[in-house]
Amino acid sequence: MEIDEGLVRKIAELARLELTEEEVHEIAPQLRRIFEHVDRIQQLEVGDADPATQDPIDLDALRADDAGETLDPDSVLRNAPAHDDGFFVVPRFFDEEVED
Amino acid sequence: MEGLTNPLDLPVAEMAARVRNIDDPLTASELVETSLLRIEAIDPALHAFLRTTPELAREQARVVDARVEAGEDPGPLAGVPLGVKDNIAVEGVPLTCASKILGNYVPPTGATSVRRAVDAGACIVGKTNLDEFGMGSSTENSAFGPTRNPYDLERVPGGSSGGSAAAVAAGMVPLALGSDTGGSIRQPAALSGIVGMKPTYGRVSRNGLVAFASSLDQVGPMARSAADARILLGAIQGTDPADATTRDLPAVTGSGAAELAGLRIGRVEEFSLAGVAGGEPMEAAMGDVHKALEEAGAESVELSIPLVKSSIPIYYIVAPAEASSNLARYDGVRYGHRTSDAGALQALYAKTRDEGFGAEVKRRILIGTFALSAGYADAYYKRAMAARSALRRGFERAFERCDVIVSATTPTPAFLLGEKVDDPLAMYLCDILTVASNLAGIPVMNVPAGQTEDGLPVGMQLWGPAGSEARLFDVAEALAETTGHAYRAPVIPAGGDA
Repeated sequence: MEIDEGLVRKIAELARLELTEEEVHEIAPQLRRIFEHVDRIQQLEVGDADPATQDPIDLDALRADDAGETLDPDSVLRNAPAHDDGFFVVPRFFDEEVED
Repeated sequence: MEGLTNPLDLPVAEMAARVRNIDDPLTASELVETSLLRIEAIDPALHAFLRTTPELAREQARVVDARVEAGEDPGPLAGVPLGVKDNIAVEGVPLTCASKILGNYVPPTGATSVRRAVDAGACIVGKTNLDEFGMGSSTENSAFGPTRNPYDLERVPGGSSGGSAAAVAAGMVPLALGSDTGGSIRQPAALSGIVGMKPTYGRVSRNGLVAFASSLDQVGPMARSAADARILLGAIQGTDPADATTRDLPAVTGSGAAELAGLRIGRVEEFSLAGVAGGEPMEAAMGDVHKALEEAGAESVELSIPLVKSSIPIYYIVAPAEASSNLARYDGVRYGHRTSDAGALQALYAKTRDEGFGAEVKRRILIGTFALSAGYADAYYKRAMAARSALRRGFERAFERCDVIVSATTPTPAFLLGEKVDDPLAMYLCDILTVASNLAGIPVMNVPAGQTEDGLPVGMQLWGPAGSEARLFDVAEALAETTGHAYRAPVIPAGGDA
């Protein structure tokens, strides 16, 4: 897998990171080198190992579905870059083209 | 205090016992003031703390002292000053993760681990520096500047819990909380000459720890001795309704040294540093330790876990994959930094994230996003997870043949500031001896194993099967008695002692 600047731009878009051209230029060779190392996993003998490493969740460990205390809305909204009347405020987005 | 031991330098059990004793003049308030004075005197040279919390610490100390006055027992950490890594939330105290993206975020609630430490009498004196979001091995990835190694100010303290390590090593606090996703407690503990433990996954609640890689992250104690670390872990351990991954494990209690005679000590071939550049002092120290163990009657068991050799590639898929997902929440909408330069929502997300995250965090988000993307997830993420399962089984089989595995913690002693900062892969390879334990979910602690000729600390790791922390502490205490290796206070050039 050749990691070039085009691929870095594409991944950055998926990750919602607007990288500068300078950053793309710097990161592409770094990722190439990292993946040259990481690609060793392709050669590993893993036999029939299951990709799900965690033990299955013990259902008894889950709490009862009771409503508990919740955070005080003011203490949460205080951290918001913009809020109004109990809502987070964001720029308009209905007329945006969204690529996925 | 001339000529007397400063109470801040006492073993934690003794420090707390004196505070708990109404007839002893030592108070929590005195300990807190001493700690704050030391931070003021020493920390300008080290930058272990991102902020101190004097008002909070003084209030917590007043509560402890009042409880003693009232004949109550404030707990096993009574009056003990505590540093908290700044990716662990303390209610009402700004939380940065050493990142610009959190802006002026103030957590509305605190971490379970922090609350439990405070309930046991600890007093929080400050938040310690780290690599941004825990991503790094030198604390140079902090958006607020690096921390320096107390044994050599030109060198790194390790990372990502480098602030907590330096704070404890320099004697500014006797105890600190760190977090460990791939070695972030043990590697800085090793480079800074102290004790640090990554507990079994699920022993300590992650509630209030800012998520990096949720299946690997664990909060743990950093201290000058195994006995001190044991007391802190004892206070913070246990299941928590707020973290469904906490498990009911045999409790860490008590104290004492293990009988080394007859103990089966595993030596894993793949942990050997023979031939690794700069690894000679670590190999020499490990040789000495194994010899001392054999002389004490322990049995040496040669083992091989071939997948250990691949733990870095496995880890650098799994951890960034989880990080890319966890860090999606920083989008400039609900908290933290928001770009001032966006007209529309998609641009707001992308610009906010570009402005707020540092270079290493961006790299890991990109690695993880790629490893999880359509067409590549099977080749990378699923394959890495299968290898992780196999690695975990490898350790389970190893612990059928031995009680404890002993290895070095780092491939080299503390490196110079700036030495690896432009070479991400070289920095990742610092974690070569630590990441396997997070992948396997097992407890591992770093303990001092001597010093290099230049006076730099050397650390070693004690590995045990899930739930075996109490035994690891027992072995660590016995080893310290046998080898004489222990924390040694550094001489810090700038500033005086409080």
